[in-house]
Amino acid sequence: MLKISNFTKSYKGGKLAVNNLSLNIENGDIYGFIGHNGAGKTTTIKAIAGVMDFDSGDIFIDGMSIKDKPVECKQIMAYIPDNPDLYEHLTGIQYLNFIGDIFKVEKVKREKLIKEYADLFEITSNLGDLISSYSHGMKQKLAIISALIHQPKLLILDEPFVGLDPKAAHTLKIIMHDICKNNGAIFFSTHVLDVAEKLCNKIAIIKDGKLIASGKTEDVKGDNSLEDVFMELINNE
Amino acid sequence: MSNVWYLLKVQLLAFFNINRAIYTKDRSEKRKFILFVILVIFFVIYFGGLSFGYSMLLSAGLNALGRPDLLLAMMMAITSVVVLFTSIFKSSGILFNFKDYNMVMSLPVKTSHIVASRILLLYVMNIFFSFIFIIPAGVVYAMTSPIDPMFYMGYILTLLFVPLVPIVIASIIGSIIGYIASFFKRFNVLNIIFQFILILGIIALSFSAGNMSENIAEISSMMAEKIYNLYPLAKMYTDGVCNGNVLSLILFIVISIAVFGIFTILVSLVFKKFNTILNTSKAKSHFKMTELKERTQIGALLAKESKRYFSSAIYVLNTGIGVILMLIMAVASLFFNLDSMGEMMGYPGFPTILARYAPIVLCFFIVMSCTTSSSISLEGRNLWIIKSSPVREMDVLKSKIYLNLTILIPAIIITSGLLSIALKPDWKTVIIMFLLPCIYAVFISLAGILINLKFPNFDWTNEVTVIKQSVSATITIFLGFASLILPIVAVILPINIQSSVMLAIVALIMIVIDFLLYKLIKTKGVKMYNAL
Repeated sequence: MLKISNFTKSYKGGKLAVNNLSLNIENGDIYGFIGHNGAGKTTTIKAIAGVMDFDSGDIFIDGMSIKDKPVECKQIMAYIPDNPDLYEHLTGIQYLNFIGDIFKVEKVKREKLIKEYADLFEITSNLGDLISSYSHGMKQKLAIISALIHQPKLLILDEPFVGLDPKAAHTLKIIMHDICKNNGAIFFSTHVLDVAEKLCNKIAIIKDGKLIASGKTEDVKGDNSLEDVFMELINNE
Repeated sequence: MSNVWYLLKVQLLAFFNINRAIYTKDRSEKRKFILFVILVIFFVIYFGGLSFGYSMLLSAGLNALGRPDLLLAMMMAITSVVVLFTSIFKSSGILFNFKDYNMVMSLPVKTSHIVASRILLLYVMNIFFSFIFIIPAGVVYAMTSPIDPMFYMGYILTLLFVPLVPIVIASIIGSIIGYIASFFKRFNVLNIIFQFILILGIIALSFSAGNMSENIAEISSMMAEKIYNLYPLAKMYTDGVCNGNVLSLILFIVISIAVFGIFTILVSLVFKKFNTILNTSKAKSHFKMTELKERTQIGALLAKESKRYFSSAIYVLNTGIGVILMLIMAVASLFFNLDSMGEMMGYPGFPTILARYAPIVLCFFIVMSCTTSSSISLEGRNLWIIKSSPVREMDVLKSKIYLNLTILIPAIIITSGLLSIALKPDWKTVIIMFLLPCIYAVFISLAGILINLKFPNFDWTNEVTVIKQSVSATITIFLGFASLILPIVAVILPINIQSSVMLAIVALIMIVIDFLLYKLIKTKGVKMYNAL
């Protein structure tokens, strides 16, 4: 579903942000992407989402290169950034409808899915208000709903649980499992190692732009906790 | 007081993008900053030169009238009006409704210090006007009038105090407008309407002050007397600076500082309350799902652009004032008897002369009205939404261009139609009056987007930064005015070809330029967009 092949991205000053990263995320995977601050997680995620250009390597979504077929790739995936900066001058429903138009979601289906997810995240009554009046958590919920209404095959999330209340976080986890059951895939970054350990079937650990471990969660962590393994890898590399 | 300086410094670094230029490792960022500095210097020299020329002209007339002192009074009044105008626009975004409000208010700093730092930012932005307009006038005054040494002291000292009271007046007006508008559901629309009415009111007032048939010095003398009545500080200023009246000089400075100080204290008292009102959104939380309206991708993008446009009063005011003035001019032309006006002024066939220049005047208003020169930058932190969406780059850029054309083209059609009725030109001029401004509308929209792609700024905390003070907006407006040289030269060239024919040739050249710009956007522009 998602293949990252020798992906390299450097900052404008020339320093490497991500160096020759290769990963393969298959259908049904919930893939956790772990690393310290500034490790290159967000850079990688932005490149996958087609938000950021990159120097070399390629990223394939369902077999299509994000460089060659950006529109087709974006049509089947959804991206939620770490900070949900949305159009504050729109109401929640205007924003969701805008996303529906852009992703060409059929009207009846759009209405059904918006209602379903808005009810699930308990923000239906707020959809008529301006996004500028929303709390951080509400914006995060709206961003998640907007990512779900076009039923993506691949979900790319940057720190998705930050700012969500426990109930919403639980709901999101259920939705993530549902997507994978339906042959989709999820790739997300997180600092919360407990979440990664419990939720992900595969994980990758990145340090200073280089991949230092990847594979099935149980293989990477062995008999230890993910936190212990992470600390050891970060300190020893 | 050090807190005020720290806060002001942070704002100045953000406002002029100084920090980015110093610390970036990206050479293109440094080049952009250098270009910005060059442009600012150019504008300062240009307007300074203009001010000097105008002062020379005025001074000759005023000296003949025996009132050389009115020169400085006039230039002081012009500075005050310019400061007033620009600060009404800015005050709402700088004093209130600014993005880093929460961060700043959480600091262990007195509210009065925060307010002082915000007002001082307005002051720093306006002090340049004081320099640009008053310094050349002072030089001319010193050159042409007998002066005593006291003049220099008073003149240099007061230079720093001239903008203070206009800033306060503008901030009060801007705040009242913002406050009243905040009680209404359509806050921004109302804010925009209020500010337009105010600006048009000021323009109408300044027109009514003069009489077309009198010469420039007489008008100036009459206006100066009116200004003295309306704005007594101007009289104090002239008495103090030109006539060496120390008491007036001291009084002018003391009053300016006192008004500024009292305003700062008063704003400190209501600052938190006022910002809370403005920042508190009206959330009803009683939405019920109804049928949704479906749009095409480009339709959705255009709707998004127009909602963004009308959500920002400063955006609408800056890019819409040209259109509004153009429409008012056209409507006004219907109510004046242009034939008899021409005869009065000694210009028989006045409407024909006007019709000759009308297409260029319309183009002038059009190049002033460019939404695209800041529309990429205005995406700000929302850029990820559109960049991660399955839309072609060109469609995103087109939607921004279409917005500008949606605003300009109907206005051009109405204006040209009304002017055609009022001026009764020949059919060739009518066609040119419709066509040339439309071609210029396409030109400025395309140029604006291309320039903004080249000089984007997504790190702004205040919209004013990208709409008014950015490299992109400055270059676009400069390019727009520069592009008018072509039709102006075409019309004034002393050759025996009808001006409408000459303008048709200009139109053809501009169509070719538009086409080349479009091609450039499709190739280079898309690449630049992808690299954002």
